[in-house]
Formats: sequence, C-alpha cells, structure tokens
Amino acid sequence: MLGMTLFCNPMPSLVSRAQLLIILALLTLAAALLALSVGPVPIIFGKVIGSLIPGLGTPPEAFEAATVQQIRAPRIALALLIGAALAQAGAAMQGLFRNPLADPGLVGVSSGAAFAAVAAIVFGNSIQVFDWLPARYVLPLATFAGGWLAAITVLRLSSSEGYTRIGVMLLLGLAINAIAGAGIGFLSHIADDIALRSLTFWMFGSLGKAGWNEILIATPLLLLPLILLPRRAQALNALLLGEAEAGHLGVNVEKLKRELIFLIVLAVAASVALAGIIGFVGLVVPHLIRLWVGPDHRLLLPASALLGALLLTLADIGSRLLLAPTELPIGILTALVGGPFFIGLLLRNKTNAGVL
Amino acid sequence: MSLTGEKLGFSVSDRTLLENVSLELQPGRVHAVLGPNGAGKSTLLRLLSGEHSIQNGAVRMNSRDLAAWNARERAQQRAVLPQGESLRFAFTAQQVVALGRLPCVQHGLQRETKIVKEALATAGVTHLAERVYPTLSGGERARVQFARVLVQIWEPVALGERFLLLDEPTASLDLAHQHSLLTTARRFAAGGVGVLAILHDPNLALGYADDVTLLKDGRLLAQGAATETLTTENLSALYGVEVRCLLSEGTAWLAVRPPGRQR
Repeated sequence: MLGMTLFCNPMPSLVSRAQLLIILALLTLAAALLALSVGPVPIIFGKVIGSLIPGLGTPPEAFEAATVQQIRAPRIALALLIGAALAQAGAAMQGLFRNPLADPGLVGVSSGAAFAAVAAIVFGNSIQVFDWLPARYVLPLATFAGGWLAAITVLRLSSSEGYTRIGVMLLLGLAINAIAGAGIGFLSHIADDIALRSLTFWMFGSLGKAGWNEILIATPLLLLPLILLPRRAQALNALLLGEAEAGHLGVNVEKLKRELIFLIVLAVAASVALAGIIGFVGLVVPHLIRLWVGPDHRLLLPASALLGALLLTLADIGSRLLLAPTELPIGILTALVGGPFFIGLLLRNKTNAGVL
Repeated sequence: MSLTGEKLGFSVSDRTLLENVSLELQPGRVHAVLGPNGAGKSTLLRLLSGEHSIQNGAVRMNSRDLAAWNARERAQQRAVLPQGESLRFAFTAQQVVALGRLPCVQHGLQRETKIVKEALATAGVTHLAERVYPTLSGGERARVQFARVLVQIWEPVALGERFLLLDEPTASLDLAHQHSLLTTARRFAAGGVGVLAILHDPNLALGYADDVTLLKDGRLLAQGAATETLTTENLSALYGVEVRCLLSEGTAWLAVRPPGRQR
C-alpha cells in the first residue's frame, strides 16, 4: 500500500483550486514577513511594516530600517523569485521529460550553468575576449548558454521516438554534474583568490550575494518563464499522454519542446547567476503538489511556484538561524532535505514500476 | 469529402515499409485494415494521420492536402488511437478523457462535462471515472483512451467530415468489449464519421467493416467490400495458413485449422 500513496489524488473542484492558491499565497506572505523579522537582530513585525511602508506600523530605528531595506528585503525577494522559478521550472521539466524524476539540478542544467558562470568570471576578467560585449552581460549570457547546452544534450541523448529513457537521463545528468564540478574545481585551482572564494557560492548556492541592482536586472528574466510557462499548461497535459498523442490533439510538439527548454533554462540560469546552485527545489515542490492535487499543469504550475517561494523563504530563515551568527549556504540546506526525499522517491518507485 | 491516401510509399534506412498503397476512407463507413505483423498497417495509419511525413504519394483530408490544415484544424477533424500508451502521471480516467476535448471548440463547463460523461458511458468506463489512470488494467486503460478519442470528434464540425483512426483498438480487450467497441465505431460511422481500424480477427472485420484493405509485405494484396475481399483464398494467401469458411445459422465464420493437428 506504500506505493498507493503516490496516487492519492483527490480532484479539487474549481472553488478549492482557487482556495489552494490563495492559501499558499497567504502562507508565502506570512513567511516573507517572518523572514524579514528574524535574524541576528530581531525586529518586531510592526517595525518591519514601518520600514517597508513609511507611515504604517511602528516607526523603526534608522539601523532597523536599513537592515530590513538593504539586507533582508533583497534576499527575501530573491528567495521568493528563485523559489518560484525553480519549482515551476522543475514541474515543467518533468512534463517535458514525461517523468516525475526530471529536475534541472539532477540532469545537470544548474551545474552546466554554474560552470559557464565560473568560466566567465575567471576568463572574462583575465583575458578580455568579450570587449565587444558590456561586461555585465557576459555572466548572464554565459550562464544561460551553459544551462542550455546541458539541457539540449540530455534531451537529445536520452529520448528517442518520443520516449525518454529515464536511466540514460539520470546517468547523463550524473556525468554532466561530474564534468561541471571538475571544471569548477579546476578553474578555481588556476584562478586567483577572489574566484576561489566564489567556489562555495556556485556549488552550494547562497541568497546573500545579490543586491537590489542584480535583482532588478534579473527579475524580468525570472518573471518571463513564470508568466509564460502556465500558458502552456494544457499542451503539457497533452504531452503527458505521449508525443504522438499530443500531436494528434493538435499540439505542435517540436515547437512546444523548444519553447519549454528555452523557458526552463532561462529560469534556472537566471537563478544560478543570482544565487548559485540551489538543488532539489524543482524536484520536491512539484512532487508535493502532485500528491495534493494531481498532475494537471493548470494547477500544478502556479501552485508549484507559490509553494517553491514559500519553502525557499522558510529555508532562508533556517539557513540564517541554524548556525547564527554565521550563515549556512542555503543550497546545503535544500540538498540536506531534498537528497533523502529523492532517495525516498526512488525506493517508492521500486515498489511501483509504473512511474519509472 | 473523404480521407484518402494516394500511392503511398514509406521507407526507413533502405527498408521499404510501404509501397504504392492507396486507400479511401469515406464518411459513414467502417474500413478495416488486416495483415500479418510487420505488413505496414501502422505505417499506413501514421501516414494517414500525419504522424509520419509523406515520402511518396499524397494524403488528402476533406479535399485538401493534409499538410495544408494546421495542427489544430487537423485535430478537430480526425482523432487517432495509437497502439499502446505511456501515461505515467496520476490523472483520473475522467481527466484523461477530458484531454480529448483540447482541440475542440469549447462549450462551457456543463456541456463539456456532459460530453465527457457520455463518452465514459459509451466506452463502458463510467465506474472508473474517478480512478487513477496508471492503476487501471491494460484493457481498462485501452477503453479510457478510446473514450478520449471519441470526445475529440464527438460532434460535427464546420471544417469538414470527421474521421476516426484506430490502431488495433481491440488488442487488449476481452471478447465482449471487442464487440462493444466495434459496435460503438459502427454507431459513429452511422453518425457520419469515417472509421479506419486495424484488426487482426477477420471475423470482426467481416462482422463490422464495410470495406477492407489487406496488406502484405508493405503492398496491397486485396481491397474492396468486406464480404468480397475476406475470402478464404485471400486470407490463406495473406497469413500463409489454411483458412476455411463455416456457415452457422446463416452467418459465415472464418476458421483456421491448427496445422499438424488431426481430429
């Protein structure tokens, strides 16, 4: 009966669908306020409100307002955006591969993007190959190219005749993760101290690096997939039936796959460029939502985005409190939770061959 | 107005799967395709549905080149039930059937739900509506998929006649459900749909089809009205086994004597 829990699937009515999204949104808002309040210097809710909207709540001290506005607010905004983007990209990728175990981290998209980012930092600074390109665009473009290359490689090599061989997909992801990890290690070995210190950042992810400037540049890149992916929900539903079946239902499958890869890689690459590799969000969150409301992408995609934002905000609180006053890289925390979760999924799939 | 394949040929890396086969699927008729394994039946169906792109010959649907219709227009006029299925996600049976309405002009929730429920009943799977698809048996899944293709061409469309292409629809069904599925196919034909079905049982073809195409080694062996084409000579030549015709209460039955077995 253990396997059956995977298929516990109540069909929510239209009302409860809206309710689910509203509940998730309210919880996310509450978590964001909590995250703004807790830290080495606790700030009460009233002063948090007062810092964000002058005139409301309790008037904060100057240093409290600065802490909320300049230190905590950007990282919470980052947690919300990246959590939403990664979780929704994971859900879409599982639809694209037609397998619930596909995840941008596991199949190597995140580490491909991170490797390209590190390479851009190391070579972009020492050799001026990109002098025709404004320096601030080099890193995002390289990150996108690295992620895209990994995604295309895995999709091409692991699927034939519209069927994804899951074993090949996961092994390819393993290989790409190993190559990218070795590449990042090698580059940090030959690079100077500054690049060396960023190794931990790229490998384990952190929400503490990006400030308002970076976030403002990256926000459209994260919002684009967040807005456009849900518009492909019904096509993704059809794709779950099979590529041929989706084609017979009037879906332009090749175009859909190209669009999905572009949007997924955009979301993942922008996240990696801002916060390094934060793994398992794209695997765990859609899985929880599917257990709750089933696999319909019309609900799965928006609900995953909200739950991803909620969970990453909570993870951020955890990463700041667990080793206070120092900070645990958030990627370590998500891997600590997500890794065992993934093993649990695999164990359950052993008793339920249908999903693999 | 029909779905026609003209002089179709198809080969994959020097292996010819289909050669010079023509077929006209007319609205209101059931057309069965029979042949041994690997005869090119599924290839023919994939060419007619547009899943394979044309190499030789032409496919026309409702007087227009198949490629001239866009993907959605195509899907509004013809539904395809492929062989086998691979859905691994926990949709309910009813959700799977509702996906068949994707290309259709939507009527609003109440009417759409009614169509899905009627199709579930037609395919005999009303009791499975809330069950989770991957937990169903092979035959139950096949019937849910059948309901899904039915809702896709449930109502007449202004674009042209409707067609239903079924690749071995009876393969995983028990005896009673084989007949009930083909009875439904006949009913849709009576409503103006052109139905093409790949079948393995000549008696089912004899009982339900108006026209028959016999394929062997990618070529046409015989084609025409079912009663005139499904002869013992043709079937013996098609399968390489001795086929006899028995008469029982005025109905013809085609039977195979097991080779090397005497009574």
